[in-house]
Amino acid sequence: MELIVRRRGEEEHIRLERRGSGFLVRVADRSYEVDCTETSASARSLLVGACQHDVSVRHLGDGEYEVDTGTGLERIQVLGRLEHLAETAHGAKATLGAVRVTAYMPGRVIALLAEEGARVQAGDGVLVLEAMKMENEIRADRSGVIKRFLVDVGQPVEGGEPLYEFE
Amino acid sequence: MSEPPPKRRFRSPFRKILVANRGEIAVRVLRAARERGITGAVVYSEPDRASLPVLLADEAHLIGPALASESYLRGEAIIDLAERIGADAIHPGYGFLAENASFAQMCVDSGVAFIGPPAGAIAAMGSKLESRRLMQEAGVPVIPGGYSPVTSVEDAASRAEELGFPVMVKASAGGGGKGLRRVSSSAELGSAFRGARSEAAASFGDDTVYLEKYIERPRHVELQVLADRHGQVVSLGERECSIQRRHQKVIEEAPSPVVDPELRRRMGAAAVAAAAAVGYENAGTVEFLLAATGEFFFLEMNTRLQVEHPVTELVTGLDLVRWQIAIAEGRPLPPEITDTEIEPHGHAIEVRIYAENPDMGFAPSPGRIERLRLPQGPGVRNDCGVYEGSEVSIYYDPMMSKLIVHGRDRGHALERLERALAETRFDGVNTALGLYRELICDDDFRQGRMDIGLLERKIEAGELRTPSQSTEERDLPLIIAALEHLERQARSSAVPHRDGRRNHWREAARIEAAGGDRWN
Repeated sequence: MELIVRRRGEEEHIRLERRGSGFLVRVADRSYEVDCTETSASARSLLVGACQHDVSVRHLGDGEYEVDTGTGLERIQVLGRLEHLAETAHGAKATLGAVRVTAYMPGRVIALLAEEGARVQAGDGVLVLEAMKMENEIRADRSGVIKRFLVDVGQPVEGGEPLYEFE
Repeated sequence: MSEPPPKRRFRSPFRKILVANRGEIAVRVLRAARERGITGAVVYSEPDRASLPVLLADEAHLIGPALASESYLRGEAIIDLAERIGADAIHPGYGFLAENASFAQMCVDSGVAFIGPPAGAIAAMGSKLESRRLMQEAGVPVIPGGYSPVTSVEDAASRAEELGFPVMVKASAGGGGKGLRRVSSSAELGSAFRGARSEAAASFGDDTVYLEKYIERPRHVELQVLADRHGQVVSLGERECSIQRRHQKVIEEAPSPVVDPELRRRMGAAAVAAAAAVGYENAGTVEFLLAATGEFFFLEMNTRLQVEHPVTELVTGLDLVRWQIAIAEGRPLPPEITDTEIEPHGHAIEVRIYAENPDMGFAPSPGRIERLRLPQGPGVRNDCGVYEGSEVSIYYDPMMSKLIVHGRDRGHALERLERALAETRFDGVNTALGLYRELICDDDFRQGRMDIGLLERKIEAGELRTPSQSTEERDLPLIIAALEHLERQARSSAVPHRDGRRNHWREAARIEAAGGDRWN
């Protein structure tokens, strides 16, 4: 499991892996053995190795958490990889003129839904990407012309990889 | 001519007390009342409906909306209520109506006992200039300076010349650091005079100011007194309150690390003289500035119970609120208090825990207390006015609790304080607990080298900043948030466990092991 956590605009990737009764947690290149147990509705006891940390945590909505470790309050945004990529792709929207539309998640192209040179309306499907056993239709976010596909059916793509040119 | 109707008169001993306050001090008074078998009633404002005093009181009465001027400051309404519910006495706590001479007088006129000094003593000590004059006449040392108002810049200049710079311009009605200006040369005098005057007029509705010699780096040492209604006045020893921020005390202790028995006797005698000079009754505090030279000067008298009274209670073994009640009932102080010189037993330190953000200039940090853990164990006392889940309101002083420790000596008390602070949690709001933990490790503080400017100088110099966190400490909040996110996902998709006490992280770990990203 990989999650992206954001604190004061800075992002880190966290990998969580089951290890005995707890988790092996990797934050960037650092790893921790973590055991977590609920001590009240909003309080958790974390054993990081043998070191105990008492923390309070509250979900503020939309994957945003308020964490109190006893040294002050911090707000942390947690995103799944797909949500994170979707946000990144969204950021490209503002660009005008010919743009390269990128994959917001890693996956495999399983269908192209439009012809090169075809005019599409906002919301029309352009291609289908399969990721984590789910098919996701990639739709045009505004009307325009599909200039050129940069991928083929069956091809695996990485998150952020360009899919097609759009004008 | 018909006789006026017989005035209602309170019963003694009291059977019911009305507490005209909120927060920890209301709780403190309720406890003392209950221990004496007296019914404890409180008033509360709308946002305080679910506050701790209301939950602990025998009776609770709504007194008005949030704004203090429409609730806790409604003196007449509170006295009416006391008469209606048959309360024998009103305890004002500190703040709000505690030092309001006309309120004290109204209580007496209505036949309700005011648990505090007579109105005349409050009024006499309410004016700094007036009290300076009274103290000087009573032989209590006062800071060199004027005994009459400064009327013009020219007047100020000639007086300052006589005293020698630096001098202080002070508002006669002042308090809390308002209407106070330090002047180091005649060039600054004009603007300081005008500034102090306008600030005094704005804050207190009285622009009277006077001039005093400025005392360099003084300590704040105050003496607790008890005075009964039979003319007996005793000093219960001193408290050191030099750790301040913007003229507000932050940490208080008893005894002072620099006051020896001889100085304690002299300061105690001065405090008793000060109280006697105004016909004082009940518990009060005479504040002094203690100069590096060992000279001490009268600063003001607080004609009420003080926030920091517990440190005196711990080193004297006396319950001050209990004695306040007994004195108001008319009982004399017994010989074991009046005839023996009170020497402190061990050492006590109090820290005030506010909902405040030290990283944002100590701005109030209202909110819900998500988790409260008060320290326990040997030598620890908490005077707390909140509970887990309660809201710290934006309307009132954000003090939530006071942590007080008692040890054999100062070193022992500091060890306990350090341990107790590490146990304490007020999650969900910001506090200065981290700053306190730094401060009590500070060499100057540990050695007792302090003056009223020490804390601010250290904060400004960045000396009390939390030591830089380890990478692990920095990663910790991220790990918690990620685990919590995983747990929420598991909770929304997992089947309930047979014993109903699921461990969601185990559940999450199992889902993870099964290879499922269950969300997105």
